[in-house]
Amino acid sequence: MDRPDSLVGRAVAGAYICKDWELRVTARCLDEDLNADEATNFESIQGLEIVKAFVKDRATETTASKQIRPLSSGQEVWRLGYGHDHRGATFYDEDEGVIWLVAYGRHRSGAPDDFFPRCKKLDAEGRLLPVQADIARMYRDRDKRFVEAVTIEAPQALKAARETEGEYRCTIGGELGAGLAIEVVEQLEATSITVAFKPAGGGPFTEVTLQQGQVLLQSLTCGKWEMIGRMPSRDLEPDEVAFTITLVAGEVA
Amino acid sequence: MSATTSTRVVRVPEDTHNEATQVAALRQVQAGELLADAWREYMENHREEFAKDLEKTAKLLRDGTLERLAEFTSRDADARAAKAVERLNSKRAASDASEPAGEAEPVRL
Repeated sequence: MDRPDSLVGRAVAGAYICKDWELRVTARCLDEDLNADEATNFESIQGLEIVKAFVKDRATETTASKQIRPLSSGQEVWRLGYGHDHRGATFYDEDEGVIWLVAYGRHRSGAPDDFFPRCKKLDAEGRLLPVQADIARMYRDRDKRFVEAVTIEAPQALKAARETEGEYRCTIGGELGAGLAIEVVEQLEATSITVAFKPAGGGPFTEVTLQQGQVLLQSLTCGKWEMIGRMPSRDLEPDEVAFTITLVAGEVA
Repeated sequence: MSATTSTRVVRVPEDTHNEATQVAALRQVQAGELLADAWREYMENHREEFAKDLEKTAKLLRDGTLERLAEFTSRDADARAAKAVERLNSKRAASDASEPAGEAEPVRL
């Protein structure tokens, strides 16, 4: 996923956007460790020292020099620290492009609430790593970012495509690779718009790609788009789908 | 959708790749052909559903709010998240957690 430059370095909903991934905090960590509402936005916790350290250390690196282990899950969980005894635990999910802050506490050797044994206990209970609700919230945030981006970028792409001879290629919302071709059929006073799309950055084509494509198509122009088998000037790539719509004079794209 | 002779690389999840390779070997075809057939079949079977969703998207863009459009786009977020958790769990390696936890240099395999 290529995150739009305009979002990099900003907190958006539950995430802090970095160039190649995003930073998020699990609901359990927000609630139990940071004493924040589990639906809180990233911006409202950015003043916390451990969150500052999270942003500083994980905006450019996915790992650290030390891991927290052994954990019964066998997952790689990385140590985050600031000051003498403040500790955090982070987990990098490469497939999803996200680093989670999964726990925060104080490291006091031998104390009953020492950070490391607590992490181990949480892991054994299945409460350390992100759970379904955390990931679903991340998806909802991403979908919202995509929808907001498309409504701005689709008209720009359409304008650029009109000014381009042949096919205009672009990335929409940082997630969807799109090719747009516009042809004017003068005899019919009609304009046809043909659009091919696929996941940006070589990611797998999933149902999400189709859903994002639907938003793109209807943001370009609302109407009955027909699925087609090729672009005007080329065959489709194996991970692309294409749609076309013809607008007669008077209809506005 | 027209058949394509392109040999471009498409990323698929590892388990899908493994299963496709096994089935392709049994059917004596290339895994790529099998996946291309599956993709065409999927699009054919979902054409109507896709058209309905397109229509709903158009309606939300015309008459709804961005908030509602985003909600519609996220309609299967829970199911997608359940799959993601399954994937995470499948990647969990066996580990000897009998020792006390602490911070340590990463284990390089």
